[in-house]
Amino acid sequence: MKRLIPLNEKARSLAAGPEGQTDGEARLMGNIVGCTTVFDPGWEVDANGGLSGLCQPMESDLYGCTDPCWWPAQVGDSMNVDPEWTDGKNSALRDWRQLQTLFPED
Amino acid sequence: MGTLQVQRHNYRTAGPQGRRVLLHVPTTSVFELDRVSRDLLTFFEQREAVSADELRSRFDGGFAPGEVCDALDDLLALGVVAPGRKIYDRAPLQVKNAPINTLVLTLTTGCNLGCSYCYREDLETPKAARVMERETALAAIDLLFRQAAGQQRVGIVFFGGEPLTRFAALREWTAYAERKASEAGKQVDFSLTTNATLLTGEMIDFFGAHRFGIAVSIDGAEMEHDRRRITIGGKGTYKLVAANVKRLLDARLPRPVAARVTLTRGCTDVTQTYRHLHDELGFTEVGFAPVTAGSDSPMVLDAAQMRLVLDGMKALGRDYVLEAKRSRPHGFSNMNHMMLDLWRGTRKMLPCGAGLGLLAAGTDGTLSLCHRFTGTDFGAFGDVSNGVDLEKLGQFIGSAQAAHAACGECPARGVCAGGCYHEAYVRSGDPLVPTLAHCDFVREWLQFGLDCFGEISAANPDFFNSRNMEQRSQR
Repeated sequence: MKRLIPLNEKARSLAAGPEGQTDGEARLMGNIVGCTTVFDPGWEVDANGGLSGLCQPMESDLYGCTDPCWWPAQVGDSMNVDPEWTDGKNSALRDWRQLQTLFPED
Repeated sequence: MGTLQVQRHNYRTAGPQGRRVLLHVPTTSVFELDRVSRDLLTFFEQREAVSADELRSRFDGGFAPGEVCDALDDLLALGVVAPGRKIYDRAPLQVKNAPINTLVLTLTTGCNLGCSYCYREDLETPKAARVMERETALAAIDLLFRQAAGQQRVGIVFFGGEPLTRFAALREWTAYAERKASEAGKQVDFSLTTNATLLTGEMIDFFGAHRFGIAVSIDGAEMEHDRRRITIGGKGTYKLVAANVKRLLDARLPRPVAARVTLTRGCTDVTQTYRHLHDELGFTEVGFAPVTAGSDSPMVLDAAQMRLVLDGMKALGRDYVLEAKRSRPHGFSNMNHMMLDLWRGTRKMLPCGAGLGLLAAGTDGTLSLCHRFTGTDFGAFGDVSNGVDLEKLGQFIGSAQAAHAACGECPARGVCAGGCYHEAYVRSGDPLVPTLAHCDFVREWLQFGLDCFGEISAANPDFFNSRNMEQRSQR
């Protein structure tokens, strides 16, 4: 029980669960994904508060988020539902304008 | 998109002082709802069926999403809300052996009184009575110790007729049982239900020395008591009973002495009766039960009289709550039982222990479900020399566990489980047909009990600590 407060003996035993029962253990994922596991800077500003001095164009974040990081709220989910979203538009600097907006099918 | 629906048959709430207590009917667990879960449940109750969007728009900005999700998880886990109809069924348990821890011995079918409401079908005058022979009694006690192999404590209840008409036998068999108990390394508890008219100083000393638990049948002050509790010749017995009770209570026996009141038409004043028996005569506990009689009997309580009884019980129950808040004990037995059931979370598959831990031996040694069935045509479940008829008992207990259709969605099903077999047997001829005339009474009494439980646990949670409650259950 998370918010209900046990008041009698039965409720206390119910909330405690059967003896020896524990929650499943949290385990690390077997494969490494995500932008925190690779050095993939983005969404920053340069030393002058601008974008021109970045080591990668800021548009690279569009690719960075969709491939290794899977952040479908902002970019296409190329790992699961839209694997072809960046096909043929491989250069962030040159092709990013060709990335199309995606709409859910239903 | 799917919706969640409120499952009213799985819970009841009570609301003392704006706080809500939730009784989970399938398990008899009692929980306190916090502000989030309370608002959430209220929302479900208003809508019956709720979608995720409706939840979001109702609670967005009100509570943190995590709080609402946690509360929803709790309600889902208890089946208070569910995506479809949620029913908790339990498969009936099979009786493979019959451990007994309590045996009722019918010492005699004879009674020196002729109470007009007595349910005993085989009641006789002491002269014409059938009595239990010595061999039968010893065989019965042997049977109890055989059947109680795994139990540390056993109980023997002396019953009748009036058991004190056979005090010499009672004394001898008590000694025999104590010998058996010390050989077997068990503890034996004795108890007795009596009309107290034959009680002597010698008996009182004996009951004290052997730690008897005593229940006296007494119906209140002289006017109420003498209406039905009369001698065979028709005279009232109050004066004699009251004088004997005074001596009994003055002896300060090690175990509390209880008064057992039978309520009949015209005798329904619970509060006054309690005041008299507890405050004036000095009984530690007073318990009330409506008379057992067919619905056409002139003594049986009709709906209007049951209303009076319930109102009286509630008034006395309020008194209990006031005392409980100050950590003081109260002698209202029905309320003590209710609080004990709610504190433990008693979830009954069967209404009582009859046939399952308790059996009664008639004067001839036949075994009945309980003392109320001895001398009826309901049939025996074995006898003291040949032992328990396991097959027959197993069948009865098996079918008794199947809930009656009327009980399926009843919020009181976990604490009532269909009610007294004998009451049902007298009213309908079938022990497994609930006495429907009592159902509303039982439900309203449970709801009242839940209110009181919530109120006491808010004001004085220590009242429900396990030491206090175990002490109360010893009575």
